[in-house]
Amino acid sequence: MRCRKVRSFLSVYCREETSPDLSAKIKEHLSGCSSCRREEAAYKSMNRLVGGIPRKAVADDFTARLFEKIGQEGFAEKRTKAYLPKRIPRFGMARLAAAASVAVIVLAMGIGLHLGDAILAPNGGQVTNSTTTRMANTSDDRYLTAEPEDNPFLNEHKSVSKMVAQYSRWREFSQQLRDNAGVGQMLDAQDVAFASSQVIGGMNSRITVRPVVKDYLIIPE
Amino acid sequence: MEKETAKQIDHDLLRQVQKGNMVAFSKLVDRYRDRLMNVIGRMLTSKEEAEDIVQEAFLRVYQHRDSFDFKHCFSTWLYTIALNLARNELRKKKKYKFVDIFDMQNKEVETAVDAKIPSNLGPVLEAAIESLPEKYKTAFLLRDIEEMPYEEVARILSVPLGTVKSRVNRARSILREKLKPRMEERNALSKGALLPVSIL
Repeated sequence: MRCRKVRSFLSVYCREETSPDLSAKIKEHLSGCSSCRREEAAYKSMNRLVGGIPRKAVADDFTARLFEKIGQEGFAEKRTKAYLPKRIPRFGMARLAAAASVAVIVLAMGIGLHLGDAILAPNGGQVTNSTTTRMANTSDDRYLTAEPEDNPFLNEHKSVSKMVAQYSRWREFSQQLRDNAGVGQMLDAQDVAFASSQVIGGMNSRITVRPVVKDYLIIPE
Repeated sequence: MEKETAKQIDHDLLRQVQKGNMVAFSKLVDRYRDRLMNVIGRMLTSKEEAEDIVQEAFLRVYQHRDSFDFKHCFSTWLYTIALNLARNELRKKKKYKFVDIFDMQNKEVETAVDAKIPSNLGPVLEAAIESLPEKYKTAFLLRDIEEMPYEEVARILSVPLGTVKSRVNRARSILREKLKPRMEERNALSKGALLPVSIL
């Protein structure tokens, strides 16, 4: 073997990382080459130096500081989970379809209320009963201008939240009618099954669709 | 056999950590904190930054303890995390080279001392290691300083085995070249060519 090739293997040879055949060839060359022997000695000396380098170590309170950090991280994680998620869930096609169906139903409710007014005042707006007079005169249009509640999640989705608010107002309105009316003719002016949307907050936010029981309006005779 | 025992110990401790045993986690930290510091501390110039990196590595191990695949070595996983964090830190600092004047002054003094008494090659070797290119330095530190098998170094660095051997070999050659003048001076001293200053 030539000196150049031997020297390319010397660092590995000095660490005993060469195969037995190669080691034998290098050893044979070294026995006859003083220059390569000096190089071998230099590598062995360097290996001794590397082995004797003082090792770096962490500070004594390293583990204590680490555990403190872990504790702080755990606290921060729990605190974050208590709030609404930062990422607003995106509406997929299914959710868009649910929102669209709610819009249709709210429209139907609006039409139904208009019909309900006509039913309440069948004589062209003239009512004969003081209760119904009171009802006709105390029509609650608040649902028309209902605003979503101050909820950061709902505020991000105004169209759905508005529908939710309008539905809430309509429920309140129909409850008022039930409260004001006495026992009388059963009338299901809103004889339509409708769906409502409700936001479920928390980590697994999503829109769900639930059926709601039909409402009946009771008016006095 | 010894390697298998160490791997088994690490896995047993990690299983305990997954069950919420913080004493087991403390033992895992004690097993590896100085070894990690010995590598990361030589990649970064600041001791505080190196300690932060090592802490962050253990923190991430704890946070992702449940996702560890027991087919692999825990040490490989830990070193991979730490080295990636160190590399990110180095990349951030690449634009702005921060040099601690105090460190520079100390090194100048040491160099001056070595110039007079070249027998003390330790600091020269450390400076030479620090000056190695990053990819050679990492391979050299893991193989020659931490005495990891070539296969494990290859897994940690995600490079082929041949590449690791080549990089380690290259690092050794560069160090040899850097140490050569100092070693020749030392040899000359030992033969009596120059009198040491302390004797005068």
